[in-house]
Amino acid sequence: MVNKEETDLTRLPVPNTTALQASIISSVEGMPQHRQFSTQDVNPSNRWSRSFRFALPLALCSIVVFAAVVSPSRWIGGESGSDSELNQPLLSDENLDWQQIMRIEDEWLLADL
Amino acid sequence: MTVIAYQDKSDIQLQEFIVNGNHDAFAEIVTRHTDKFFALAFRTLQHQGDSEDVVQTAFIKFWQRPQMWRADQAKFTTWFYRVIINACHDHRRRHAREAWAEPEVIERALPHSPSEESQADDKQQQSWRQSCLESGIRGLPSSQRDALNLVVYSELPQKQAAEILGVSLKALESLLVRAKRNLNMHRQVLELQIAASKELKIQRLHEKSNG
Repeated sequence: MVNKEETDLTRLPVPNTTALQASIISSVEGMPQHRQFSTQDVNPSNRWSRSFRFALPLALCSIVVFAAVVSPSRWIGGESGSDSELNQPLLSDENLDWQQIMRIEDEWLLADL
Repeated sequence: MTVIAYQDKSDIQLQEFIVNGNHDAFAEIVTRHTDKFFALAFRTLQHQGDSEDVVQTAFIKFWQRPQMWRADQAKFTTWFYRVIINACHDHRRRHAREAWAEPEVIERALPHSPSEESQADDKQQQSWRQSCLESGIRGLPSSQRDALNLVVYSELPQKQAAEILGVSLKALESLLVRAKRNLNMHRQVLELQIAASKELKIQRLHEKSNG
């Protein structure tokens, strides 16, 4: 029954738009338009030359300064001398068992032969 | 006076003028098309002020960026109908008017039930039918509502309506059939609910008079 029944789709009339038209037309008077995106603005040669001229040297300087601040001994060349343990050799001569070392060397030599 | 000079121009020609900031060409395109775009917005939003806002905003955006319409891709009206539909959807989302109206609210809003024998003149019946139809359309899924508004009320060819909605012709036909079926069901449910509430009122009156 639902499908057979013809739907009455008459709706309320749409209001007049004369005032709306006038409002739209007057609202854009003096309103600027957005210009289309200019390809000149994104010319690759302009963009890259500008970047290299300013950004790249600045970035390099920043890296050098940062590295010098973080690790001055490596970049300036001198030892910091503040950490005595780090400046000591790993093994001092008196701790070495030279006889033992020579025996091990002999064993390696015999093994190679 | 200057608007008359643009009356013979096509939409594409008018766009070229508008791109160069020609206000009269813009006035011509507004005069030419506002009626149909407003009608679609009005039938979608069911609110005059909101529909006016949507159409005005869309036209202002077109003035600001007339290049947005690509004449090689779609007719101006096809493109702008789509713009209006999208703007209406955004508006509804923002204002959360998508939900079905509650039957009690509809009943309260209705002037009279058509079956009220003593008072039911033609005008009231017509008013009831329209309220019922508007609430039914408001409750339809947006795709069905758009299809109905474009084909039935804006009287666009189905091919153009399908293009605007970005669906196939078959899908559009299906949307229309389902929209009409849903509207019929909505009306029948409302009639049943109103009849039931009337019965209840009569029953209570009887109980009062007996008690």
